[in-house]
Amino acid sequence: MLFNSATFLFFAITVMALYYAVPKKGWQLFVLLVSSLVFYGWTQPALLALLGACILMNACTSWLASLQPRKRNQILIAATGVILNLATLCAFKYMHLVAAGLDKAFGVRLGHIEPMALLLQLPLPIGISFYTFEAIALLVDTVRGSMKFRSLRQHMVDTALFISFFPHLIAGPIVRPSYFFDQIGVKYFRAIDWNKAGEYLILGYFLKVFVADNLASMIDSGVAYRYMLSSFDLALTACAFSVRIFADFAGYSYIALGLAALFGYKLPQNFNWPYTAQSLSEFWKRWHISLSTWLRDYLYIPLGGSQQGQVRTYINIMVVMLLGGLWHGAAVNFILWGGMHGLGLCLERSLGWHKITSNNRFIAIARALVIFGFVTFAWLFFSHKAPIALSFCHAMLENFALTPAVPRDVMLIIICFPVLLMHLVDAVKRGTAHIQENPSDSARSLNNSPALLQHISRTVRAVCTSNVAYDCAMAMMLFLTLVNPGDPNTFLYFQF
Amino acid sequence: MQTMNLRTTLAIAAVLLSVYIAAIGTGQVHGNIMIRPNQFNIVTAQQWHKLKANPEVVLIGSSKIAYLRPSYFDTEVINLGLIGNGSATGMQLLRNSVLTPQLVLIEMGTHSFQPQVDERFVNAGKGDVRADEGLLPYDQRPMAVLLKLLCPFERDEVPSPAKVAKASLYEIEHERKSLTPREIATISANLKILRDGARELIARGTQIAFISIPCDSIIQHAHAEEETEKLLDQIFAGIPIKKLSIHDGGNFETTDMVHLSVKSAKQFAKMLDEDLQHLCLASGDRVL
Repeated sequence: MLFNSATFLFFAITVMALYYAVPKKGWQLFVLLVSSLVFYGWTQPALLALLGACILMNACTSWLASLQPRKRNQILIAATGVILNLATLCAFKYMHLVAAGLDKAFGVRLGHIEPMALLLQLPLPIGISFYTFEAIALLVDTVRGSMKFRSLRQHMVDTALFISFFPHLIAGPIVRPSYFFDQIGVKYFRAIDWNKAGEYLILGYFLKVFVADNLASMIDSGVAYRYMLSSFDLALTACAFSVRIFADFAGYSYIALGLAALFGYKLPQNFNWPYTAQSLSEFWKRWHISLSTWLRDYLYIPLGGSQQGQVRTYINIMVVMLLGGLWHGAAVNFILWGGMHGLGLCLERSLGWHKITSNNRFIAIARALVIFGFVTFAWLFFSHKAPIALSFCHAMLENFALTPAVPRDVMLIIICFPVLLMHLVDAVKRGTAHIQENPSDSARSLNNSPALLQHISRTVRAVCTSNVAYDCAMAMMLFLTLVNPGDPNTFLYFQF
Repeated sequence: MQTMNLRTTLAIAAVLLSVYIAAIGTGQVHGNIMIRPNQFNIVTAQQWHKLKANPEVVLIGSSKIAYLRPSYFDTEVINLGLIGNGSATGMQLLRNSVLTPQLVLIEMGTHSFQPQVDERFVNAGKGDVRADEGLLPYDQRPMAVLLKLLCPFERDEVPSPAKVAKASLYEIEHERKSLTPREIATISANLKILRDGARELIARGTQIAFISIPCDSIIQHAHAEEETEKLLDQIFAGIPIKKLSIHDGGNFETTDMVHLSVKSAKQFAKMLDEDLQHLCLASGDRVL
């Protein structure tokens, strides 16, 4: 069930009505749990068996681990659970890659072996990468002692809701167990923060329905007809793809946040305007935050992080980024993409650039553009097979003589503009916050600027931080979402 | 910290919507406030080369035809392959032109069911055939439905025999039902253009040959080509045409190309062999 479908709208309204109307508030969890399972099994009910098994296994394992007085036993039980989770993920997600590799290298055809053939025919369970990581976090946090369970029955229900809560089930954000478990309880309709929920929903649907869906067909055709388009058109198409993937995924995350808010739950922010980042390290603190922090806490730090010498740090970064790439899918292009980011992060660290952020707006813009260029280049390999991405780059370098397709380019710019503006507004807001925190710095820098520039700067800041302007912008987003939606597309991150 | 006021936001959006609805009501705005992006998908006629009133061959088809390079030909060839569109538009261009080729090679495939492009584009081909690399609107949906009919498999999927049997064009009736009446009308109109065009050209003494080039995803469906040929039989029943196909178990080997009755046939076949991988790549792994 897609968030951007009429079926989902009906589903969400019905569930919400039931959720707040149940006579006994204890039934709320039951309503939420059942509706989450309905949501997940809507198109492929068979997948509910896998989700159910995952919930049961992780609830039991974490409960058992928490009962052990000795740390060693706790680790043993949790490790078994983690291995089972990873085995399930690998069986569904990476078996095709292994089968193709074996076939190519040794001529071994796994598809001809009966049990493997059956496994290879099974569809990839939607959202498996997300809920497996959440389950692993539950097991690890139990051993770390950051989880407190009440009773087995309650723990079963809590774990079931934690893993299957429908707003974040399919494409995140990847929620930490302690963050979610603490929120489980009775919720009241009057306690809903309508302003926040509305803000998230409007922003999310605008990014998905207006920006991402409208860009989709233009970008696809741009890649398909790359030999026919000029270098400028292709560069613009590549940039638009960066905007699209952000709008698509961030849109989903904001919708998830908004929906959760309607049910009285808070989910962590997954995006923080990543294209204003001045370094790759900063980019990863702003892009898919729930995944990057998960990788940091459950992989990078346990590997030793940056505490065991420079060479080991680089190895750790590469391992994390390659596995992060592989998490997105069992394909060479994802490994390539992860490798590119890993190398970029290592290079940045070796030059000491990862710690530097400039308050000089021109330097900051230049650095953000360089990072955006690198990220955009890497997205080409993320979203297309390497030969197609390379031929796209080749065409971009070759087609200087062709005339730009102006109407198409104008359309791309118009649709991308709101996302760029949002990034810019965020940068201005951060600048304003910096000024408020360091008034002497700002006074010095303002005094050095021409009067007109000072006036413009103050006006821009006032508009960007004004509540009225914000309400108008949100109203415009809602309006555009309603009157100019793109052709409905599935969310890009559903495939992961 | 900025926070949105939901009431104010909804009130402003309501005002905007009211103005918009009023503008539609008074005829100031038609439908979408902005032009839809898929209207900017690309329809490009490529390589309209070696202009001559009586070329030996005219090629009509989609991007697979359009990408054929002039260097492959040692004869007078005009390429009316259209990127982003297909054979029906090419046929209209040909009928509007003054060309009297010896052979017209029409590519048949899912693209053949794409709707016509803008009338202005078709008229641009009147008189001398000339290149027009403008951007013109087209709607992809009917083609997408047809693609689903002909090629219901995922890329790289090895379909089971049961799935292949189920995939038969004539067995997925429920998929056909997903076409709207408007889309069915579009498809019918295109088929009529091809049928009438073929009749007219044959009357002028031109030979007509149809080819079906399965692309990388279609080729995995063992019956895709047979289905296309069945469709051809249905559409062109009673018209003396040649039917050619390039398909041999997924290796892109030519089999029937030697039937072409012009001297460039072998070059043409050779070129298709060499270029097909490139073409599939160039079309972004999507069949046009």
